[in-house]
Amino acid sequence: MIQRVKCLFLLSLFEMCLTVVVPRLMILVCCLQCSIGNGATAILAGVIAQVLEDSLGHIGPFQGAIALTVFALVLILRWEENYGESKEGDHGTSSVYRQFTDGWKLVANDSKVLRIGLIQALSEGGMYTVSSHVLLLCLCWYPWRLLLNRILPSMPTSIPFLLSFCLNNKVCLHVGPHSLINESSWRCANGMRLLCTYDGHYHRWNCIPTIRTLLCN
Amino acid sequence: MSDLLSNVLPEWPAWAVDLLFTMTAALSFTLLMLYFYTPDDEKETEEEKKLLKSAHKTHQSLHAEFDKFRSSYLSVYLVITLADWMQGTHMYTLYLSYNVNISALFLTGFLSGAIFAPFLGSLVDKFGRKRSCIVYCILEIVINWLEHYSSFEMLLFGRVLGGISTNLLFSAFESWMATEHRKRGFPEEWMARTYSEVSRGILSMEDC
Repeated sequence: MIQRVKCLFLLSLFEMCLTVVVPRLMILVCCLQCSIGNGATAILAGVIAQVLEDSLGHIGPFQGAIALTVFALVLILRWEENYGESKEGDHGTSSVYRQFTDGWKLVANDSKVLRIGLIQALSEGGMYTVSSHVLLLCLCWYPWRLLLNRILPSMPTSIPFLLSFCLNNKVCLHVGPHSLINESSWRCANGMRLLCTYDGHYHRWNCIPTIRTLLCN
Repeated sequence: MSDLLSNVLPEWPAWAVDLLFTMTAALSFTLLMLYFYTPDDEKETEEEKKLLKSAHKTHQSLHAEFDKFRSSYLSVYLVITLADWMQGTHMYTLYLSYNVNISALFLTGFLSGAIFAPFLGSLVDKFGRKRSCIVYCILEIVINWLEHYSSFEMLLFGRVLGGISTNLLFSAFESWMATEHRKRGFPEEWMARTYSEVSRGILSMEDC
């Protein structure tokens, strides 16, 4: 919960920025596309990590992550620097304290920022704590785990269904953002996304998104 | 191709590999169809017309410039996301093999994130987004290097750094892109295209 509540003040600023600059319809389209990119990256990462773990042991995915981060670092060096300044060249004179208080003032004065952050924090926080505990109680019971692993091998089943989820999203984008199917798909997509995040952190229960996808689709 | 994948992933049953191929083919086909049949949203807006007039640029040159900028951001963001997904999913398994107190390590990571979060955003703004992104990469390299050791203290230190790096991941990169987008004078509407490619789902937007 704490972890998610802290995201309120960081993530919400960008999300609010998005709300201000682009129309609602565009945002809905955006969000659906986000899930597709995210899901595709997760699938790719899962396959690569599995291959690395098979060949290098449990530490393999971490070594792969180091190599990728070094590559990213080289790419970042080509970027130009920029600052969070209200006026050009203001960063030299503005203090960290002022930046900090300005941020809090923005949150206090704009209810949109607060609401976005709270919703995000509570939904993801709830998913991490309440739901995961319920699922943990059900699925950590050894016979259940054994049965689920036998019926639904985790990784092989979740990947094709993640793909089906991506496909579903892409098709819904084409159907039209006003349609009911798109709204419901968007809700379903987010449910899936949250469960996939859960899946990512707890690896052992990644059959859960599969079941969820089956129910949603 | 199917045999190759079966060799790479020997634990996967044949039906799962077949299903993966079928779904990949379906997704590729859909993407191809959408590429050809999606209505054109590249019509010049009033804002873009003004911008082009003042900058003495053509529609095509501005698009080319924007695509280059977006690629430079996407390439970095996707690589770091990939790296994050790769190590995040296997952390639990690794700690289990070290036989350490897993809940204490995860709790330390969350707590560290919560403690540093309120200040990091301001620090990123003050000292620069590019520098913060570089710090993120260095932190991630150090954290992943620390994961090689089964010492609980070293892993704990890694989790403290992990709390900081998570905050940087969700703030420095996107804020760099948003500011740079405006600095280079691209239309505001185009920012959505960059977000659409990379950003995480924004559930709460529906409720605004």
